[in-house]
Amino acid sequence: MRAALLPVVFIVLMAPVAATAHGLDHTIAGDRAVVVTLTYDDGAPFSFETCEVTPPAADAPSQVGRTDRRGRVVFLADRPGDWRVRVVAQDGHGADLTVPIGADLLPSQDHAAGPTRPVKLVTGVSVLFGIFGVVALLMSRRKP
Amino acid sequence: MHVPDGFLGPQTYLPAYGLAAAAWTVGLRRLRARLDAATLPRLAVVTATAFVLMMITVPLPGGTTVHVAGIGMLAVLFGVWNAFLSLSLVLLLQALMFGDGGVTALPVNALAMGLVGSLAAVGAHRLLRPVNRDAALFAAGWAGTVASATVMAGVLGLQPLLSRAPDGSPLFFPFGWKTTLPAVVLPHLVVGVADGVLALLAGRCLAPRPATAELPRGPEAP
Repeated sequence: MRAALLPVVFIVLMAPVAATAHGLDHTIAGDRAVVVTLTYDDGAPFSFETCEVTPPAADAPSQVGRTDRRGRVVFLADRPGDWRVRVVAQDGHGADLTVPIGADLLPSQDHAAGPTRPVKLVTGVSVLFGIFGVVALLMSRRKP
Repeated sequence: MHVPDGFLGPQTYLPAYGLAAAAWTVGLRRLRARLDAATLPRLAVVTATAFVLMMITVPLPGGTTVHVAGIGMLAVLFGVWNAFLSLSLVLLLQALMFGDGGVTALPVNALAMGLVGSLAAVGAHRLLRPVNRDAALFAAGWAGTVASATVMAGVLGLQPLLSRAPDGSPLFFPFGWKTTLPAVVLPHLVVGVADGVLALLAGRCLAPRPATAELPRGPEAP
């Protein structure tokens, strides 16, 4: 009787059971990812800061982690719609971005960086002086 | 120190908008009553200078960047309310035109930098002016920057306590005071030195000179 049970016990002990297995399969493949690059005004990368990627109409992020050395958040969209990318630094720097993803699961359009710093400086100073000019005009009309 | 959109919950920015609106109203009334043709061009130039200075960021070790804001300079030269309005205008411009700082965060940015910073700057200046004029100017610049950074760190660190998802994760800014206070305030202790020097230079060079009629007349005066 014992001899008859031995093969059964052996099979039970050696059988691969998914819940207790520690093997990890992997695949490696090239794919087309969405790359969001974040830099400070001076061009310095927003490196190693907390980031979250949330799919459209989802309550929780599908990916959390940190930006890479070059300030990039990289993710693979699996559905079209507005994806949310949030990056936060401990000192309050960061951004909360909407990335529109098209039917091809890639950004609907490339988003170029905003105006350069010299453009911002000239534009801002011009607008400020314009506003103060209007105030001066109003003051001169009030006090003839 | 410009908090972007999405970092502050409505429990923060809605009351802040109410408070800031009241402060903007008071400031505009005082400006309308007291602003004269001689002060306006100086205010315009110094406001534009503050805008330019805010755009010049300096990288610090650890990966962050900082910039001077000219809070003390504006407050010492033009008083709390004019400085508050000028800085609010700069912040509005940056938020609307360039996305630097959020529209929802505008009242918090304006109250922290424009009002609290200016109050701290003028307070430090008045406290130290009887002792030493230059020290008072420097302290105004330093105190304005550090006070506004402290308020900003406090408001950011409050967010995880105010808004959480059902699973307990913070909905807006995720770091508490233990993180925000050192992360925001410590760099601004250093930036405050630059703002102090700026306020000192501005106070010495740009303060209005007394009119000739007010100058003490010597025996040789006609």
